[in-house]
Parts: sequence; C-alpha cells; structure tokens
Amino acid sequence: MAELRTEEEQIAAIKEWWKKNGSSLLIGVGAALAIVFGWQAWQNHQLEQQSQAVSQFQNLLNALENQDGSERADSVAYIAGQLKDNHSKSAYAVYGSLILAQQQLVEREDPQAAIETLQWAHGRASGALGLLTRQRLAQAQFAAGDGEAALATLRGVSDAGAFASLYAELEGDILRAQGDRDGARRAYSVARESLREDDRNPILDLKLADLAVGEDV
Amino acid sequence: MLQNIRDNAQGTIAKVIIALLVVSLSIWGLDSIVGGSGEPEVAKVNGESITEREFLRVTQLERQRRLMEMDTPDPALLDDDAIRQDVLQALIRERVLIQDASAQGLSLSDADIDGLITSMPQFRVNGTFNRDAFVATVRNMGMGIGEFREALKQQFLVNQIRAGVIESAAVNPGTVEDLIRIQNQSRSFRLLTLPASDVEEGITVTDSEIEAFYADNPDAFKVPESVDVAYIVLSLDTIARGMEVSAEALQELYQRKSQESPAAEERRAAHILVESGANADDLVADIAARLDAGEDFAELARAFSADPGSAGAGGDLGFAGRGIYDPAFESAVFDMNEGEIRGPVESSFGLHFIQLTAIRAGDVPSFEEMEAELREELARDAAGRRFAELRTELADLAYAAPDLAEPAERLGLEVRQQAGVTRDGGQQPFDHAGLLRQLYSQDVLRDRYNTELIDVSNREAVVARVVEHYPATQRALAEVREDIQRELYARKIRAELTARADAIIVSLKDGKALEELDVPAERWQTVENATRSSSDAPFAALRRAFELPRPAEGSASYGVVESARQAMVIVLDAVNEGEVARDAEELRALSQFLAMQSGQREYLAYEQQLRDTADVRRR
Repeated sequence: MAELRTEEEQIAAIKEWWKKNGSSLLIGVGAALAIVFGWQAWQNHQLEQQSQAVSQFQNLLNALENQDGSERADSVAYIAGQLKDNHSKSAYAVYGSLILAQQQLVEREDPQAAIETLQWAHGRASGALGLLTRQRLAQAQFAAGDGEAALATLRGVSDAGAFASLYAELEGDILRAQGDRDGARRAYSVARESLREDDRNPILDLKLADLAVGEDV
Repeated sequence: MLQNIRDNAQGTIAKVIIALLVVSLSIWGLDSIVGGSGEPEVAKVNGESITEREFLRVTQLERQRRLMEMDTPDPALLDDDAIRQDVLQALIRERVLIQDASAQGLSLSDADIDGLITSMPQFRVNGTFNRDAFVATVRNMGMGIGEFREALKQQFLVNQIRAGVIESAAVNPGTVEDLIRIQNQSRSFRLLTLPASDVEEGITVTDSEIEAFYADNPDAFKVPESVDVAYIVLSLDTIARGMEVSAEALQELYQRKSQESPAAEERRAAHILVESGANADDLVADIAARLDAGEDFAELARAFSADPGSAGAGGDLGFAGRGIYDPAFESAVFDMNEGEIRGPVESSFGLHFIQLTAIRAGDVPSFEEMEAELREELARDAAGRRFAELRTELADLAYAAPDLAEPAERLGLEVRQQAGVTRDGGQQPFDHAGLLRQLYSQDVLRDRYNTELIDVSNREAVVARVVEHYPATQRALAEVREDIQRELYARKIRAELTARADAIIVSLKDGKALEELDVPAERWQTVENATRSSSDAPFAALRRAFELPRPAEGSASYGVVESARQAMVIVLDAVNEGEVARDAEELRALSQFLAMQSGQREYLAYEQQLRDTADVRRR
C-alpha cells in the first residue's frame, strides 16, 4: 500500500474506506449478534420445552403409581394427550403413548383404541424403541382378536435382534390361540433357542411342556 | 500470494467465515475448534470415551462394595480381574443407555437438577436441604459437584425410559387364562415300579471288567496332591479368655453403660424460653418476679415462652433421658428435685426457666446382672491390643526362625498339625485362599520356609509350614477294586432296568394289554386326575407325567424314569384341562405380576439391543 503523507490524507482514506465498506461491516456485526442471541433464545426455548415434557412425563408416572381404576385411566389419558399435542416430537410422547395404550388395553378394555395409540407411537420410533413398539402393537392386535394382523406386524421386520425371543414367544401365543399347536410349538422352540445363555424363562418352559415336547427338544 | 490473501480477505465469503469463527469461539470456546482432551481412556462407545479415571473410580467403589458384602472382609479374596471385567461391562452398558437417552432428545434443565438434588433424602438434615451433607457425600464418591450433577441427570433420564418401558407392559387376558389352565391341568396315568430286586438275579461283575474299567478311567482314581502342615493359630478369643479385668474398670464401664442405656432414668421438664435480645433482661426479671409471686408456670409458659413447640402445652417437653437436650439445660434438669423451678439457665437457644415435673426411675439392669457381659467386653478390648502386639511379634519371629517350635515357645502358643491339605483346601483355617496359595508356593512347598503371617479372619492369624509333601498319585487297583465292583454292578442293574422298562413300553405300543405282560397286573398303580402338586405319585414320576405328549383320544403316551434302585414306567392316558380361577382378584394379581415380568424382559431386550448395535472399541 502506498505511503500516506498527511493526516488529512489518512482521514480521507479512512472516510473513503468507511463509505465503501461501512454498511457491510455493520450488517456483518449485526448478523453475528443476531445469530448469537437467536441461538441462545432458541436453546432456552428448547430447554424449556424439554423441561416441560420431563415434568409432564414424571406426572404421568406418578399418576400411574399413585392412582387406580378409572381415575388413573383418566389421568393417564389426559397427560398422555397433552404430551402428544404439545411435545409430539419428543420421545416422551412415545413413552406416554405406551402407557396410555396399556391403560386402554387393561383398564378400558378397548384394544382398538390401544392399536391406534400404538400405531402413532410406532410411527415415531426407530431402533430399539421401534422394536419395542412393534411388539406392543402386535400384542394389542392379538388382544383385539386379529391374530393375522398381529403376526404380520411381528413378521414385518427381518431382524428382531435382542427382541427375537420375545417376538417368537408372542407368535407362539398367537398360533396357539389360533389352534395351530405345531406352529406354536415351533415358535416357542425358537423363543427358547433365542434366549441368551444365562437367561431362563420358566413360563415359556411351561407352555412348551404343555405342547408336549418333553425330551425331544 | 500475500496480495491475493489480502484481496480475498476483503471478500464477503471471508467475512462470513470470520463471523462464524467469532461466534463459535464465543459460545463454545477453543475446545470446539481444537477438540479432544487427551485423557487416557479404556474404551470407546460409539466414539465417546470411557476415561481411565472414571473406570478406576468405579472399580474402587465396586471393590469396596464387594468387601462390605463379605462376612470377614479380606482383600486377598477379591478377584480383581473379574471386578475390572464386570465394571467395564457395566460402564459400557450405562454409557450406551445414556447415549440413547440423549439421542432421543431427553434432557433436564439446571433448575430441574437443583430440584432433584434438594429433594433427595440423603442430603436433607432435619427436613431441609443441607449443603454440607451434599458436598461431603459427593466428595466421598470421588466426584466433583459438576460431575455429580451430570451423572444424576443421566441416571434420572435413563430411569425414566426404564419406567416408560416397564410400567407400560401388559399381558393379553387370554394368555393369562391359558397359563392358569396349563398350571391347573390334571393328568391321569398308570405307573409301574420295577425295583432292582426284579433284575438282580444272574448279574455279576467279572475281574476282567473291573480291570478294564480301572485302565479306562485313570482320572477317577487319582489321589490329589496334598501336604501335611504344622501351624500356629493366634486367636483373639483365646487371648480374651486369659485377660484379667480390674474391678474399678468394671465399675466405670457399668456407670457409663447405665447412663447411656435406653432404659436409663428419664425426666419430664417444662420450660419457658426467652430468646436473647434487647429486652431479654427485662423479660427474664419480669418472669422471675411472677414465679416468685407464685404464678402458675404453665400459664407463664403459654404467655411468654419463645419455644413454639412447647409453649402451647404449658412449656411441657415430655420425658427424656440424657443426651437429648443442650448440655447446660440437661445438667440443670438432672440436678433438680421433682417440683423444683430453676432459672434463668443459659443454653445455646437462649435463657430458660425450668420446672421439673416428674422423674421416671430407670430400669437399668443391676451390676451383678451385667457383670459377665461387661467383663467380656473389657477383656475383648484389652485382648485386641494384646492381639495386635502378639501378631507383629509372631510375624517377625516366624520370618526369622527355621521352624515353628521356637516362635511357639517364645509366645506360649501351641503348634498344631493338619494332615492331607489339598490345593482345594480343607477345614478351617485351610479354607482360606490366601493361606493355600502360600502353602503351595515355591518358598514354602519346596524350600520349606514358614508362610507369612496370614489373617484368616479378623480375629485369627495363622503361620504355617509344610511338614510333608505328597505329589499326586494313582490309587492301586487292589485298593479300589471293591468300589469299581459296586459301581459296575449298579450300572448293569440300571441298564437292565431300562431295558425291561423299554421292552414293556414296546409291548404296550404293540397293543398288548397289561394282563398279557410278564409283570403281574396288580403291580400297576393307577393315578387319577393328579395335579402338579399331587402327592399320589412319586415326585419324579409326576414331573415326567406332566412332560409327556398329550395322548390322542383313546390312546396313550409312554415314558420312563430311572434311577440306580428302580425304574418307573409311566403310561399317560388322559390330560384334563384346568379350570380358570373365577376369582377376579386372583386373575388381576397374576396379570399384574406377568405384566411386570414381561416389562422387565422387554427392557432387558431393549438394553441388549442398544448394546448389540453400539460400536464398542476397547483399548
């Protein structure tokens, strides 16, 4: 850069530079500040939302533990509905739905409603949670008397991973209820083979013994 | 080149880059750009490290926990390798769960964590949160406050997921009813017991069979390696028995115990509390004057006492023994006579006027009743010190001496003998792993040194040496001939019984009636509608009957249960479905139990799935 000789010339140069770059500099600084504050505000909002979901879910668990009968079913339905409406993207809405479905199934004896609830939850879950919601959905379909749909749900995933034994046992229950004793026995045998080494399931053993395998397992 | 950079640096893109740098630096600090802290790690779970520091901290806690579980804590018995393995597995599992919680977007705000901490009972003293108790507990766990908060938050979230999975489980009512039906099922069968005496005739064992068995099973006739041991036991109990206890010490202990005893004397006092303050002196003088004038103590307490807990009750504090009140208050109360009023007495709460309203004599056992117990306690205390001295002395002597005779003589102890201690140990004290390890060490076994002094429990220490070493050998055929003969005979009987039973089943399957068999028909026992818990048939037969396949209508299924003394043939004729309990309450209870069990299985599967799909790398 050429040597600037006088003070006037320097000032003039600065003014010139400012005229050319001043506005973009201001915009840059402004944008940076906006990003910082915006980011913080967004984070605070997120935290607040999460915090709300946490405490609502805790309320749900408390209601489940401390109340009973239809009062409990009402509380669970209300809070689970709130979670679903206000925090539909949060995993808590999924867990809330699982509990709601249980109440619909057991307390309200309304498997159809439980199926809808679980379908919603299953649509929002993946990985291990997806496998769990699938199992629950099949259970509700079985409870509704729709064994075929339940089997289709269970068989809709190629690798049930650590849930393999649970899936097979439920499959056995369904086939047994459908009168397919051979199929049920095969499914229960798969369930027993899929157990981890140190794991025992006496109820499964009882069901298997009843289907008469005894020593030829 | 430089000119180029300078030109570019004025471009809009460069400005954006610099703005982003400034923003990220100001929010996340230098770490976000440079990255990584460089602490040593033991494993990486989905790219996140488990640091060596955390691993060591948890390993330490786990060692302590296992020591506390032992009857007599002894670090020599801990298997450190196994602990390290278990801890690493547990840490990986825990990390996977935490990552899962955060991947699901579960989180807690700082305020939520504060709320959790202040509500935890272990940090509360007298109903309010106590910061000192909190800090002390956290330090004890070897954690910093920030670290603890983070761990607490993670635990809370993991537990919420756990509750969400387990609490939401249900079982199908139909499945529950099926289970009850299976459980309540009854079965009808016929049972034939073939005793050994049926087949004994003509069964012999030849010499050549015995010799062949001896040759084929060398392992069965091994005599394990063993040692004969001489040893000295230093026992706290023995020392205690020989301890002298002085009469004064006994009296002193009795005095102390009788005062601390929950059955000690209790006194009932009422008080008027005046809190120190500007006009405390005036108030005290006023109350003193009124008391002197004979005004009722209870009325004055109601009017003036600053103790909200007792003022309403006329100052009454109820009965209490020593060690409850402020020391100054207590010494006044236990110095007063019944009915006496005293004051003002100064305590840490302020100034008290005290009225002693009643004395309840204690029900402390007499000196004679307690003497034996106290003597033992004193002797034990004294013996503890003597034990420690002797222990050190014995360790030194045994280390220096070539055998045990000299240390035993010097300390007045007895040298005992124990023959046949194998590597698997023997009776006490040779059931101690550390002692066995030393006995079979090269120094002791081959070079015949004394072992070190070993604390086999917290009241016994042992020094031992090997007197004789017997390497493993093979027992001679003559010695074991009879055992083999008995074993082979039992096997033949069993084989014969099984063959007979199988033959009977084949005949029955061929359609022969019971009467046509070469066993008298009356030996068959008929068991009708036996439940799983029936006592109509031997347990082994019953269990087998419930494992047999269901017979088709009009036919039967067959099974055999055999032992060395008898074989049982089971002919299962019918399976009767069980009744479902009509009691709704019982059904509900069972459903709940099964649901909970199923929830736990599901959670285990959930956890396992996370663990199986995680990328775990160990260092």
